[in-house]
Amino acid sequence: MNALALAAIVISNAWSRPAIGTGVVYLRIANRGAVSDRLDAARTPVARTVEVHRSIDGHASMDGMRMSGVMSMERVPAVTIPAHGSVTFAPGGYHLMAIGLRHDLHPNERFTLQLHFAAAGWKTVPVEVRPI
Amino acid sequence: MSSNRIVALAVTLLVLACAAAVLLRVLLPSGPLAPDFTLTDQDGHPYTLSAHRGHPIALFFGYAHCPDVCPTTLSALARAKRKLAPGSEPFDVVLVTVDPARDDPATLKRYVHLFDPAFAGLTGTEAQLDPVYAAYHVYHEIGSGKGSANGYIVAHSSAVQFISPGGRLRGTGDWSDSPDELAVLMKQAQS
Repeated sequence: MNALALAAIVISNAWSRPAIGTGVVYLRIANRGAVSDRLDAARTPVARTVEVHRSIDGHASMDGMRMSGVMSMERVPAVTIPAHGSVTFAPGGYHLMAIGLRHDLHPNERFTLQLHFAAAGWKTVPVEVRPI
Repeated sequence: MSSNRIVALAVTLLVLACAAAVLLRVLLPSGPLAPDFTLTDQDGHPYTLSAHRGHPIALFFGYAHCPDVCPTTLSALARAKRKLAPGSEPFDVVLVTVDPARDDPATLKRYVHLFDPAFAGLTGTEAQLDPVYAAYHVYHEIGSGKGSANGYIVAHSSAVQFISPGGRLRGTGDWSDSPDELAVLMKQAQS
């Protein structure tokens, strides 16, 4: 862990939705430092595993027709947070998937999420479950 | 006014009308009858679409293991429904699973009730569901499940299909529409 790198990473607006089984966390990660960093792991006490995924708005062929609006997802092993830049995790794009929830997530509940950065090490953020 | 100017004016008005239709998310005034089906609802009871005439319906295809696009859509539909005038025609929101192997009625009940206790969640056998996907042009593809602890991912069409109280297809919205945009579509589909 690097104290300078840890101070450079600023996480804001972390929120989640009511969920059963599989939950989600959205947030914004800013890097105020002069060197890029990389989010490469995450964990939370409320779920067995946390993975970074990205939703993709794509298309597919069906009955000889081109169908748009086909949503899929892919797991992303790591996300680079550029120097003096930020990455926003938001619906329809990057999201943290909380897999194997140990209990249902209820509106207005709070839980903690820990994010690991290659340079900065572990960083803990509070997450708010926003009502529908 | 010269005929050229009249033509130019007409073309301008047509372009403006098309732009307004896109901006205001106008649904078609009428459409073909929504293809009928019978599936199993979140309480284990048969659900036949044509038996629900009289209510406008928003039909969406998704699955309970989907943590991003499906909850985004269902949450926006729940918020849109709350924006409708009190006492107006009740709006049915119906989720049809694209993941029948994992979505049994009990799972779907817990899932859709996160968003609104009146939402319905439908499942069935592949033999029952495949013709529904085909009739509504819903693409779905079960992924390999390699590399994620969440198991397989289902790529699927994300359109929300609006059905009038008379059982006619009126048009579509999608996951990226805001609650305000979906509420506009719901109001149009109420008549």
